[in-house]
Amino acid sequence: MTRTRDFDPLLRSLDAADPHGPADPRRASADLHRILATDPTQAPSQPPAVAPTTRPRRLPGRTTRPHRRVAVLGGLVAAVTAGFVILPALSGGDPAFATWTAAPVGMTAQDQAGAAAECRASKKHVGDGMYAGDIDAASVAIAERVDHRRTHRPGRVLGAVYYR
Amino acid sequence: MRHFSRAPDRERTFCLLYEAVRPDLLRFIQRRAHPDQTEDVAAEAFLVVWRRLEDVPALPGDARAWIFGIARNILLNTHRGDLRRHALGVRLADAAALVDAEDVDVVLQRVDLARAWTHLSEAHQEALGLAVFDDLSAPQAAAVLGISPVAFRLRLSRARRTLRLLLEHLPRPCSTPAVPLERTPTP
Repeated sequence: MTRTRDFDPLLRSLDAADPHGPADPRRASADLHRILATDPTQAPSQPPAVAPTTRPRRLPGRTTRPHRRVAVLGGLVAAVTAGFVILPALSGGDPAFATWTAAPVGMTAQDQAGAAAECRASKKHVGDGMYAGDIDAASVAIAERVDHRRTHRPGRVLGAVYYR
Repeated sequence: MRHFSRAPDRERTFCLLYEAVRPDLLRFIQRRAHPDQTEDVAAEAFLVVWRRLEDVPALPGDARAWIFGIARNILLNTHRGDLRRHALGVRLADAAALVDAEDVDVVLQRVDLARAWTHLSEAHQEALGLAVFDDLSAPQAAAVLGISPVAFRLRLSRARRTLRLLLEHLPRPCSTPAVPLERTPTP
């Protein structure tokens, strides 16, 4: 077969359409009368097919909108993340890190005694006071000073007491 | 043919247009849709024409292409619910069933062409169909597709080149295939 030659005549011989057309004059006439009976100014019940005199509405618009949506969502996520990371640092940090200081700082004996007293007072009523004697007799295990930059309460001292 | 939109009477103008274009429109739809849909789609297209008679192009060939475009949009609309399509594939007749050719070589050529056709994209089938079967000029075919004539010429050129390449790379059949050839899906 000479496959590169012009194939239009061969293609025409494969036309799927009936060369004589659907010969049903009754249907043609019935359709014509039905159409003529309609009011041409009346809006159709369904949206009419788009006539091809104007270019079809740009389909690419359907693809650019999701891109825009993704960009907006990405910006929002970035802003929220930045808010979670940066704002606590600017405002003094998370209270969970309140006992942390960049460099270990010792406490004076007076501070330690004050912290221990505060701790004992806070635990005195545990179990309706049934451990009050044990708490009074307990010695201080750890006493740390809160970083004043984070707590905004400079010099506040916390204490911890454990039982022996 | 007459200049439809310049006829004085609206109803008469429409009847002339209906009579002149309907047979070609039915064939246009037959190539692209299930046979059961043909006359319904044609009626729907002409209903749009009746409502928009003032927009019908003055030249008969352009008016015919304009109506083809309406029918094409109706067919595309029927597919929007499940799968949105942007082109209508064109069916070919069953090459193996055509027995009018006396020359065996012609029969084999048709079989090859029909096989290659099934590998064409719907957009390329559509471009070739408008040019070869519907006998539309480039500006008229472009109006049917809603693209510029330059874009249509480019698409048609690519479609011809693709079909030629497909024909050149088809394995040569040893004999007429025993199984029915796969046909382009009915749009």
